[in-house]
Amino acid sequence: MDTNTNTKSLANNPEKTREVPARLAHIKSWGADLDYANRPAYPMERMPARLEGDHSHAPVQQAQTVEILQSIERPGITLIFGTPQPSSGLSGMLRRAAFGYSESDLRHWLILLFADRVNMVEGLASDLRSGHVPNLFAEMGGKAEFKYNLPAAIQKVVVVTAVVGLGLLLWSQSKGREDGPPPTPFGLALAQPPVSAAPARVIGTCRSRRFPGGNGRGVPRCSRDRARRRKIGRRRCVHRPAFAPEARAARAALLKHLPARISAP
Amino acid sequence: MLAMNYRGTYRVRAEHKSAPYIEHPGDAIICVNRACICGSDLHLHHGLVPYTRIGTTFGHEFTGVVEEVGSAIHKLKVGDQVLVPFDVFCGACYFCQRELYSNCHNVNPEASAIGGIYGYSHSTGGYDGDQAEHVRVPMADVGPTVILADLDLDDAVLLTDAYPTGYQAAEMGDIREGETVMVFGAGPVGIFAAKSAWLLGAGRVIVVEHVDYRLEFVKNFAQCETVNFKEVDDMALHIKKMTDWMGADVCIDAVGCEAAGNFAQSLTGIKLKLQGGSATVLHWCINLVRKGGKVSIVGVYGPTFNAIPMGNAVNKELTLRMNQARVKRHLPRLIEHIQAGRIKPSDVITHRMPLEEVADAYDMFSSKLHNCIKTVLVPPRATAST
Repeated sequence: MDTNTNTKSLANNPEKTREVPARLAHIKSWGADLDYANRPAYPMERMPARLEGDHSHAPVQQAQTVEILQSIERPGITLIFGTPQPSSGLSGMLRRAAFGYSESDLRHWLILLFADRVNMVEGLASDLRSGHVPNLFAEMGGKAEFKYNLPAAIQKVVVVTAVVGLGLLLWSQSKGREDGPPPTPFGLALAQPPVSAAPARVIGTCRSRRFPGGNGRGVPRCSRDRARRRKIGRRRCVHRPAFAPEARAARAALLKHLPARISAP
Repeated sequence: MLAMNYRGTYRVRAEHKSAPYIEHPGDAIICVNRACICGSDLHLHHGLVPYTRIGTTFGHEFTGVVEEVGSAIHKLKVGDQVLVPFDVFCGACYFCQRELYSNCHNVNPEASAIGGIYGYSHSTGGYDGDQAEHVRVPMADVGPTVILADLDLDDAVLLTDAYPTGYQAAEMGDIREGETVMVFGAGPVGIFAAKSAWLLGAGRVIVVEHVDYRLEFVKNFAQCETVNFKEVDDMALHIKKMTDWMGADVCIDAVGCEAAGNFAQSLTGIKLKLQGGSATVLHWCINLVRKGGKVSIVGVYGPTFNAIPMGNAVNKELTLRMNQARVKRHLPRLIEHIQAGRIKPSDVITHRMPLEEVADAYDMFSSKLHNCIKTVLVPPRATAST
């Protein structure tokens, strides 16, 4: 390495002693810092530091007024620290848990990342609680997108509209399951017998704890339970309670109107 | 005071929050008059940096006027126009005594691997940033530098991070006369790295990017060669052909964790967050530099881990250098360069926007709209006074 040679030969006036190659003559000030003596961060560690004034004494300890989470890879709190946005809520609990692990432990960072997402929801809730409905369009720079990137902005609007529309459709269908016959895509279920038109009727009791509403002591069941049962994944009651004859008849009448895939056990 | 307020991934707004106050005798309160958006702020904005609390004010590149000082401040006085390095440091610890200011050990209780940075999540100390009307500056007798009358404010604000980081990227490459330097990324840091490579004696400078207007800009600003990696099938093959089948002497990563160019890296690093960002550029740097070459990294990555070809780095006997910029250390020489007319950093500023439009400013910078390279935010009070 010719560092030392360069330093000696160019120390006084590097730009005049260094001849600029002809092919680089068009580069303004080429080689101005070719000499290592002109490189401000050479060598990497440099002592004593070239700071003005006396810095031999560490600063005094900052007073702690809010909760500061501390890395367990440190013996204690540092002399200086930031205080904005102290930990709070569920995200704060998660962050405290994360600081039980060292920075070398992946769990530390994954919990912090998760806490950030929880914090986003908390932020939204906080906005709504204070009566502020966030303007997502403005906060995401929608104005600039429409001004400078119209095609992409339109594409985004179409995609977002499609996603929201699909979500609403699915939501309305899942709501339909509660009150009526099982839906089919795009609302074709409307063509089926309107089972939901009949008022809910008590058709028996269920003693299962696995079934919603089941408390092991036997609770009344109504025709709407069937839709709920389907919603939680076709789980069937482990008990086959003895239905009263009138309830059995009501159930049979109900099953007649339901598609086979629902009435099958 | 009016301040930028982070509300979640891709969501920011300007709103009023309580003003900072003196919390330590070494503090000063600065009234901000220029605040830049840095490329690394976008990593926060996109939710890639863990431990970013809702309500945080971003920003770490700023100039301003001293409005109030703590009882232990002797060098600064109220009314001084200052530029403030992005890193918070004490000047007295083991690392500061060695001029490794960005590694200061006394300013960040919440992590041990990194020092303090303004407005860069709680993992860097939890300090609020400068995209606001006022900012608390700890250790104000150590960090801030008074701006001399002959230094333009727009040049000064770029001396707080972007220009020193670009310069340090080139300097860590240990460039020797005539060497071929390859810079990945033509954002402000990459542009300054390319320009600085010439000052350090490079024989050839090649900048790799995929945004055409940025390639055009860097070609004019730094008189370098450019490669659009979207137009290249295989980067390794292309660069080997460009360099007589040897590879570059020095590769500089000025992109960091949101690098495009490799689907697997983007999917696992950015979308799924299974690693600390997309390491595409690191991968290229290691594979495109020559044997015995040097890789300099100033791009920001997450704290977990990244998939890089470490075996190749070992087999090629590479030197890897990396750090956050130690701004204070570079300032005297870089100010000399500006005063001598060797570089005009403010040429990279393409947009100047009021702080109230911070959401649009982030979107424009992030989506690279309207040929945006560097955006300066101007708080309302500064508009009236400076």
